[in-house]
Amino acid sequence: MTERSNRASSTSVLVFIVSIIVMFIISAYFIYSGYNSFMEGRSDAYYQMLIGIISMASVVYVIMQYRGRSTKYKVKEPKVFTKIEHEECGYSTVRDFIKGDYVFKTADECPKCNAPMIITRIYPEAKEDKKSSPLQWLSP
Amino acid sequence: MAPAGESDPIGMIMNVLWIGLIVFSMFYGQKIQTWMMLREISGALDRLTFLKNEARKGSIHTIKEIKKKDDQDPSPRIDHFLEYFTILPVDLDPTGIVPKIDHILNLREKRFEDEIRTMVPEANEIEINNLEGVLETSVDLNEIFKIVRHFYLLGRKTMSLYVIMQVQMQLPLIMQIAEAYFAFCKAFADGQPVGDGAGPLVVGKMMLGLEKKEVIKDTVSSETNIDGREVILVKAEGPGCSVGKPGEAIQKIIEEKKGKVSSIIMIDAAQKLEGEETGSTAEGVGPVIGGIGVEKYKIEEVATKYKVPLEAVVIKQLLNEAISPMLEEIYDGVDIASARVKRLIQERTKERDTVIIAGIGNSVGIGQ
Repeated sequence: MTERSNRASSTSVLVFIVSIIVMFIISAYFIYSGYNSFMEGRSDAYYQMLIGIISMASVVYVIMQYRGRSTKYKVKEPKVFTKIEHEECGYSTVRDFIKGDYVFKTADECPKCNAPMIITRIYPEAKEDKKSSPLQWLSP
Repeated sequence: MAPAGESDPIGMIMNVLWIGLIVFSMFYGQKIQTWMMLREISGALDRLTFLKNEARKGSIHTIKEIKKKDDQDPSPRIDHFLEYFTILPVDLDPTGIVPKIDHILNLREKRFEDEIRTMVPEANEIEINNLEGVLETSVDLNEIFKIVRHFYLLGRKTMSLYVIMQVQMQLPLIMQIAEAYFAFCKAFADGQPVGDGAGPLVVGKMMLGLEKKEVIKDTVSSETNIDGREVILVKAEGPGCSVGKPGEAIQKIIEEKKGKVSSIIMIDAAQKLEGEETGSTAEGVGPVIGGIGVEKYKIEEVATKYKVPLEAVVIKQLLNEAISPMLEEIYDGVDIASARVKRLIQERTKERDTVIIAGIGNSVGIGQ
């Protein structure tokens, strides 16, 4: 069963590749032929060019859809920051996130008034493109 | 080479081939389309495999990090756990289904906790909650992968365009959810707040410096006075990964007060529509709470019983923003939501009234 389906699959791929090659030859021929007809001032030049361009566009589209893709993915982790504030005096500082940080955790002392400060924000770095989703950091 | 024309034999062949291709595409066009769809799904499947493997690795790494001594490899137990499933009650006769769902969900939660305690006996409550989130997300990612793979293999076997289309058309959304789950998994492992924590963040800020007590498991409350009103604040206990049981907590508080509560104000993250700003806020009425519906049901029941008005404040965000590390725009939205809550207290209640303010959402990375 599996052997048969594998054979069917490889036949399908072969048919697909042959179709693409045939389509490419036809489109190249029509473009060439259209060019010659145009130079000779024949009226069917535009018709041939149109067929050639449409065929070539279809070939390019199918190849683009079918092109080999990278199977190597990597995780690009966003940089995460921790904002520490002292509300009374308004002093605030931002540092890299350290595991164990959480919002409303008492952190370092305020350098201005020596009172304990609290973590008020833990956030990932802003994307340059505002429209991009926070998921974009996972790139192929 | 001569141009394609009636007298040109090559041109004739090309014309015939061209017509042949049109006829070929009439019969095989759908098949080619099917191959292309399968190819697209196969690409997505590669990516899903990567995501679920990374999530699995993350779970193992987090467990090893907590387990100080490297005596036992947690991998086999995690692999066994990734196949975990939950069967919800039969809904042919929906009367009384909510307590049954509640029971099953409690069982599931208990089982997750027990498994984690067995794997990492030395973990504290926060670590257990975070690990629960990491494992739950890994289980979900594994499930997404298996469903997409099922349709891919079924499609390849049957070559049915309609089977393949079911997945291919939803693929962008499926991948968006899967990648968001992956980001969620990483945030849990590190204990970072996520967008869904906007509600608990509003209430957590109000709870700062107040005495907290556990009303229900994983849910804390504090009492304070705002503009002469007795205010009871409710949120999931942080900074561990937990959504608590706000419905049950509100129900318990109202029953204890014998229904003498003037208003329930709920704050939650809400799904924004495309075109709306992330972090924008809105007000409304009704119980603003997501999930399967058990907690919502409990709030509706008690609010209806004692005719308690339900006010809602939402902080808008996309689904993937809600389950990814919290964006700065959402923090800005939280400040605006806090101001809205204070205005609601002043405008919608009177002095000496009792008001419940509940922050709904995941408290991961958010204390109180």
